[in-house]
Amino acid sequence: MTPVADNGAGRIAGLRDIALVARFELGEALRSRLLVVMLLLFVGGGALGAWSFTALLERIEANAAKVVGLDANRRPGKMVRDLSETRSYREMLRLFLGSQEKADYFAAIPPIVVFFGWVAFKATPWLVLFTASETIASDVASRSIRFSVLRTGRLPFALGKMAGQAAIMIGASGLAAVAFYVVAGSTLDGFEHGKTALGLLGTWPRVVLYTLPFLAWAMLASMATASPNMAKGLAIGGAVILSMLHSFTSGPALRRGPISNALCDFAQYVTPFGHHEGLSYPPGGALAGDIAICLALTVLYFTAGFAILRRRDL
Amino acid sequence: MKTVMIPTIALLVGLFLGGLGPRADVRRLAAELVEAKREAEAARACGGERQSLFPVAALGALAAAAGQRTQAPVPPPRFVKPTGGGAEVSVPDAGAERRRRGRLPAESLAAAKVSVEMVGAMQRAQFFDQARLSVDKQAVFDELVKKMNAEIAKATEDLVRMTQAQGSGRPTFRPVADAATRVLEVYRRADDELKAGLDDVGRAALDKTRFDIISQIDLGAFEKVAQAAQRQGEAGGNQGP
Repeated sequence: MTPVADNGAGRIAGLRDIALVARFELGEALRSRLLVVMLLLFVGGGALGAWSFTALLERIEANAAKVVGLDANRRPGKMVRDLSETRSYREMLRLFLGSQEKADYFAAIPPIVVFFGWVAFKATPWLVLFTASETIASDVASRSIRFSVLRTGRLPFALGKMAGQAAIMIGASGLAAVAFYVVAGSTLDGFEHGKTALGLLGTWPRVVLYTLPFLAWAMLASMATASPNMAKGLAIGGAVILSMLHSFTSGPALRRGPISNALCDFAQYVTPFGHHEGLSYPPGGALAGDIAICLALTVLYFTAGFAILRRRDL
Repeated sequence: MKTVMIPTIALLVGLFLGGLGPRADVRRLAAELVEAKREAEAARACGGERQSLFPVAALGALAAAAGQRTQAPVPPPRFVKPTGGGAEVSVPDAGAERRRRGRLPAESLAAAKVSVEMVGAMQRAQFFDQARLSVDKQAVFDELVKKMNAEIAKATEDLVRMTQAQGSGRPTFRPVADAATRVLEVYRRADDELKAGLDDVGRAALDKTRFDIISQIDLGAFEKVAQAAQRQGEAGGNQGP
């Protein structure tokens, strides 16, 4: 590794160092079986989500068949697929979503993809917070960071760690989508392979984008403390506080005038929660804004964490 | 780090400040929309006598609306104190009035549509499954259903047109009976066509699943009839005795 100099060659060396640290991070994750745990969590989560969806459909269809005096289908899914092509399905969606345009958009997507998006947007950030928050804190705790930062700068080191974790997250969430597809495809009747695959492929990068600020938040916690457990607690506890901040400031309870409205709106810009709205419904007009906020919060959290790491006595 | 941090914070602050005006507009418009909806709801609840009817029976309701309008007891104006009683006049709230009168025809239709279409989708799936229909035959079936629904929609539209042409007077039962006959004829024809196009497996599936093409009728075809019945009811209520 090469210390970063303030010129073009130095920058290239810095990028090489980042890639090297990321590669070692992946290797370390494999060695410490973190990768196995993550894959189990994500792939298991994806498979479990698809299986839950199938089981739910089976129960609904069996009950509905009983009510109307029919035999239940051997494999669930047919009724929902047929129903999703009716106008009533759109009307039901409109009642749930409160908007005709949203209902039309989601009605055109296979229900399994909508379910995957919902589960992935809700669960992936927490899984990432759980698995990525120890990465630098454990090196600080074991003092092994001292050997790394002798050979490269602290910034390439931290960026490499984050890149490694991001690579794990991107791969694991992609595999979760594959597991979702395989389980749903093998259990659902009338499964639309092409449409579902395209839908999952379109949802996956948006989930990754939404998860990036959470990864940066986990890195912040990891850079702010010297204990892996403390980092995990800080990452998850802090995220709980951020989610509460989002919930309180979204509702009408705290919005009692122009100033409180402005403060509540401002609070929405410091938490990543809720910014999947534009990502999950691109025609709504909030896509660009949510992408910008997710990326900006990623940078903000990471740099806040790095400001602490830079001053830390290793 | 500053070179990255400062633009990032500037972006977030810019998004926040730039959104202040539009967000305030959205909040104001949302509040106005809620208020407008509430007022429209209250106005409808204070309208004339309504019928709670199953949407398929909307054809009959159109004619019945005018008849029952004349028989319905007419409530005294709210500002008139009832004679023979010392109790104070209570002004019923719009919600209670609405609950007492039940759903509007169009609302009943919307509520029934979801369940009827769900049952229809299930029966269709069961029938396709048992009859082992090929993709071509499924397409023929879908075309048949589409044609049936188009003809039914035409019949109901004609009925609405005829009743509208009659003006504000009480609609006669004959156009309703004619429309109902047309609808039944369309159904019978579609049913015959379906049965004629099936092989032995398909006919056995019909018996086994007790599938009937009537389950595929699109209740949306009756939407205009329900709306017309609703308008008749409202006009009756607003006309008074």
